[in-house]
Amino acid sequence: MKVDNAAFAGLVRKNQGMVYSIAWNYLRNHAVAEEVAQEVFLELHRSLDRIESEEHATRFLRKVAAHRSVDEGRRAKHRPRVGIDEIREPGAVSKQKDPMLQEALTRLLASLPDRSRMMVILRYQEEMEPGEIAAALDVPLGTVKSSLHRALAVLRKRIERTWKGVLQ
Amino acid sequence: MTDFDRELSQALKRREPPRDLTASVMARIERRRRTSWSARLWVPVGIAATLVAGLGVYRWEEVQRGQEAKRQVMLALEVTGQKLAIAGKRVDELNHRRIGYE
Repeated sequence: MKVDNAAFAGLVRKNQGMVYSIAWNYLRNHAVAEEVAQEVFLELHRSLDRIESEEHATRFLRKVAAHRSVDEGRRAKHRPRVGIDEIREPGAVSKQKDPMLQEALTRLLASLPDRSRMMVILRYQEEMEPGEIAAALDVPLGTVKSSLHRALAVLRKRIERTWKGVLQ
Repeated sequence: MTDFDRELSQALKRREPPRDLTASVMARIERRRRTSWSARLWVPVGIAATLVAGLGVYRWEEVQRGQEAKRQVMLALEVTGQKLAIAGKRVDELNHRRIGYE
């Protein structure tokens, strides 16, 4: 794919939300997520010869963002945690439906195994189908289906124990 | 879609990326491009420097070899001179003895 600087900047702008969010939702650390996002775009720039279209670039970015985030999480032993920039100011109105439930979900997600956590992120953030997740993470479709099923069952069970009656 | 799915989607919704993310990426690409150009420029300079240094070392070894050869020739000449002097002395002695007999 032949792109000049302006076109590449456009590609970055179009996909930065997706790439940054995959890294942020996985690592829960603003600075590390930003560094990972930059590395992912640099990797795209290095691989432009192999990229055939904008859709291919988006798939490539999703895949690299997922792998890099998991690698970074393993390397730095970053467990998702609430960073100082994530703490709400007293009295700040939350746009979320139930902030406490959201926080509980975030903590529970952090307790999932690395790969299962990334599968849940790709499923719910990017609304990817199991087949697409399998391709992005280089794992068999059956593994994605069973891991997702198990991870969601664990999350649901734990959340329902604490929030009985809130969720249907 | 259940409440659980909705809450999970909400918890994992896309975040606003840092405002300067695109600019930072483009700056890093530009920096890398400049570094790779200067690296490319340094390759011939490095090769030329290695050649000059190699030639210098070769020339220095050649001079050293020449000086060693010169030293050996001088030593050989000195030894030959001494031998010739001894031989001349013996010839003179023999000549003196022959004259004495006669």
